[in-house]
Amino acid sequence: MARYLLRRAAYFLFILVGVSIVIFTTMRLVPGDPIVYLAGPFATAKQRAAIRESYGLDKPVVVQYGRWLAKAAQGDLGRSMQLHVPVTELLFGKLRNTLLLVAGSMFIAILVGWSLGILSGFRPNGLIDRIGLVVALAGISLPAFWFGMLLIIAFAINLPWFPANGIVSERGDGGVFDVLWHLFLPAVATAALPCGVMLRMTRTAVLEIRRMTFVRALAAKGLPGRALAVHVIWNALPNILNVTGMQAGFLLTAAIFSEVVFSWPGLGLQIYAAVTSQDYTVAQGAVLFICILFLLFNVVVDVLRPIFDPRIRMA
Amino acid sequence: MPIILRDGRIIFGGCVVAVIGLLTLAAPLVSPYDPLQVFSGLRNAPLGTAGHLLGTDQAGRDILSRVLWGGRVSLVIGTVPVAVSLAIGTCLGLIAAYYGRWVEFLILRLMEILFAFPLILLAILAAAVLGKGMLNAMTAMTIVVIPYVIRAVHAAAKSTMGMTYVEAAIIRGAGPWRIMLSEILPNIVSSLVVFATSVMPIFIIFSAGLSYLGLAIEPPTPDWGIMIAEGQQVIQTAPHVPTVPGIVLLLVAISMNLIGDGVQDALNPSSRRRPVGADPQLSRPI
Amino acid sequence: MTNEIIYSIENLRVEVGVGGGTIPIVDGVSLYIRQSEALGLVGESGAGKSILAMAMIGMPPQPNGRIAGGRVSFHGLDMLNRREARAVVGKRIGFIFEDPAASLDPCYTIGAQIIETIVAHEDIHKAAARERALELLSLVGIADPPSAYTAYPHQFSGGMQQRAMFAIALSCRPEFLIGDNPTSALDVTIQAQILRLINDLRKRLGLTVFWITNNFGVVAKLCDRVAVMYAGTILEIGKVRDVLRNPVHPYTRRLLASSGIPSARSGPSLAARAGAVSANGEVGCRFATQCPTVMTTCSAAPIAMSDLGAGHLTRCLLVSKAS
Repeated sequence: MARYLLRRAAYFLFILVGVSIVIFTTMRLVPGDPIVYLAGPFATAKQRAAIRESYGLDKPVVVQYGRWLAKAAQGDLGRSMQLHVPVTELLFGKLRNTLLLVAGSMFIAILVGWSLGILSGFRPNGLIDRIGLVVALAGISLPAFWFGMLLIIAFAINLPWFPANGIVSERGDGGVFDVLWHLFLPAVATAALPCGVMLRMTRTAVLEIRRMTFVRALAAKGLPGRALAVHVIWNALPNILNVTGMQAGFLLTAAIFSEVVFSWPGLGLQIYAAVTSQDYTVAQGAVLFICILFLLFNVVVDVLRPIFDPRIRMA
Repeated sequence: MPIILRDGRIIFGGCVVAVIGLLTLAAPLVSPYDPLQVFSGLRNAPLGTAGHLLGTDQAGRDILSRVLWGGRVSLVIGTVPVAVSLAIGTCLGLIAAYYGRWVEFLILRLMEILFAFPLILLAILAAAVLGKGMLNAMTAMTIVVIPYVIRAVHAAAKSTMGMTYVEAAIIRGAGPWRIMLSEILPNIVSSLVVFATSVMPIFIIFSAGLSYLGLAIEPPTPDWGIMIAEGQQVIQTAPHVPTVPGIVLLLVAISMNLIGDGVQDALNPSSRRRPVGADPQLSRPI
Repeated sequence: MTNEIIYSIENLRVEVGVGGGTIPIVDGVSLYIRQSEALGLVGESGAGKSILAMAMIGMPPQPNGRIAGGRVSFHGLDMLNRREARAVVGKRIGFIFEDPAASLDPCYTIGAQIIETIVAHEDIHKAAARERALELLSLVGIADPPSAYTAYPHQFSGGMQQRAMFAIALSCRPEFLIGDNPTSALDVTIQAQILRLINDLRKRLGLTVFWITNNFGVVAKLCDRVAVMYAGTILEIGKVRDVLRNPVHPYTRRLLASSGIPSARSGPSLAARAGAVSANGEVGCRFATQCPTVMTTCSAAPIAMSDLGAGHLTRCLLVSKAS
């Protein structure tokens, strides 16, 4: 197990370095010159050169990369070129908001997806199964941004039950309930796709396990239905958890659509703004951030497998 | 009649997609107005207004025409990248599997790095670098999908290569391309078809999403994503403006998902009545 | 002194849905088993033996099969009735499957799988159940019961897994044991151990046994009577000695010949005809198409069992002709 983790850590590092190279070069490939933007239209060539030098953009790319990487390894991602605040500070706040959105969505998606999926798996072609399949089809076919709009029209405009945007009310107290109240609609909008995927995969996982011989053998032991169900679910968990983890990782960036529709101040929005306005430091830092998180999610998903499947645990 | 045509889902989905596809294709003939034509004084006209079946948008342009013309853009952006990435990805995947050693190593490692980027992030980066415009948007999306294709093809090809008839072909002295095309490829075709049909609905939505974010299409070219984005401004007063293009998008997505399910069940008889969770994110990056 | 009949099957019919219609996999099987006796069932694969075994505890074949007719009763209880069956399956009737690796839940320890059976049927503390589980594990010949108790199935060899399955099947001290080819995956020495164990239990506790196997050697060592099954029907049944020494039905003789057991009766040589077991809704003898001594009347009408005396029955027109 220890060797396995070590190999994973090495892989992790290798991937991160690759990712950092890609994002570094990508930012410099985006058309346009940030200096022009920063210096303003009236700057002279000399002023521009000075600004360029102050950001270290006059050095060769490889040197720039080396410097940035060295600092990043120590946790210093530099300052936003446009806002002049430290990148890490800027990102952490937004990250918290995105994680909140992801958590809320996954909560709803798990609630609906797992329960309908498991019930459908135990009674295929039954009423719950048919309902579940329709829900799943809707979930994977609904564009999240449009669904968000529908929710706004229905529940924020026509039925003024929920706020249409933002994370806290302007005149509100900004407390937990206020945030949750603002969180509801965006979370539902973001939950549609993962819910659909998880419902289907859970159903499939349960069906597959039920087909296996040992389930018949358990029935031949005279176990009551409930005990059989527990056996089936326990065996299906590795697959179910795998899908769930993947969806959670996916949502980190997929949430951007809901963030835009509901003006939810999250990380996706930040990255988008930084990339399009060529704020190198923010973009590089943010992408590195997200990729690390994404990889961490994948690692967690991988680690969960052995916990629930003894065959892998002891291999 | 082959099973594939008897599946109700494929029939229904196929019909809907065909109808919508044909309508958008025939937009120059069928569309009542030019999609850019502004009817000043007739902004945000509701559904069923005289002369404008689906109303007009916030700039006074006929929505029905924009949906038809926009469909050409949206449908193309959603489907062409899948086909292209399948072609390129299959080649690269086959090459990687067949030649092995450093070629395989290089290709696979590059793909792994790309896999570390969440799908949407990669698309945003690619779109930012390439800029707006239909061609660029399609290129960006193609780049994003290729890693998944390569990985799937490589895995399938590797397992096929272990089979004896491939070894027999190599001993016979068949050239590499011949082997790749006539021995390996036919065996992975059905999984590729399943992959393509299940990825397409995701792509249609995804490309609409990118244009929603303003990364794909240069306005004023109509496109369903942009229509939804622009329509959001008048969501309070004229909710039909962003809603209508979304409904069409939803219909297309549902139909494509139904087709994908039907194809999956037809080509994998062992998975009868097993809907596919057709999310490429399900393949693990590491 | 003959013991009472504790288990009887009357005209059992089990169908499986294929394409648009159904095929009878078990077609009109009737058997009975007495207290403390061991009845063996032999036949090639595809004869329907496993499906019969599952139907005996009231479980229709998955995914689309059903028990279409007949009666199965255990001490008067209707085994085709779910409620009545559930009261006894696992508790008074133990069942052992053929493939031990596939029959154990990979995510639960061996010990957990044994005690859950006990706890489900008896009102007993977990601690006491654990005690019994350890006893059972050593009874079936597992060397280190405590560590086997906490082990997972995949950590065991096939032989150990099957022994664990025996432990599970015997956990509630059943009076009737059904084994579906339980020793086919084991090597000969372990097989012998298991058979000795079963014989021992029969002697000590009066255990009744129904043993499905392809192996006449096992039948000879373990069983009192044996039935021969082909294409869903019983073709011959009788005391082991009688059937093995004087096999009447051509199919039985073919089976015995191919398993290398010499039979006293000489007769027309049996051409080894290849052919899959099939049941295409034929009237009359299912073996007709492959029988070296077939007559036209064989396929004309359903054939009843002919009694050869001393409980030896066979479903073959040759006998009626001769006698």
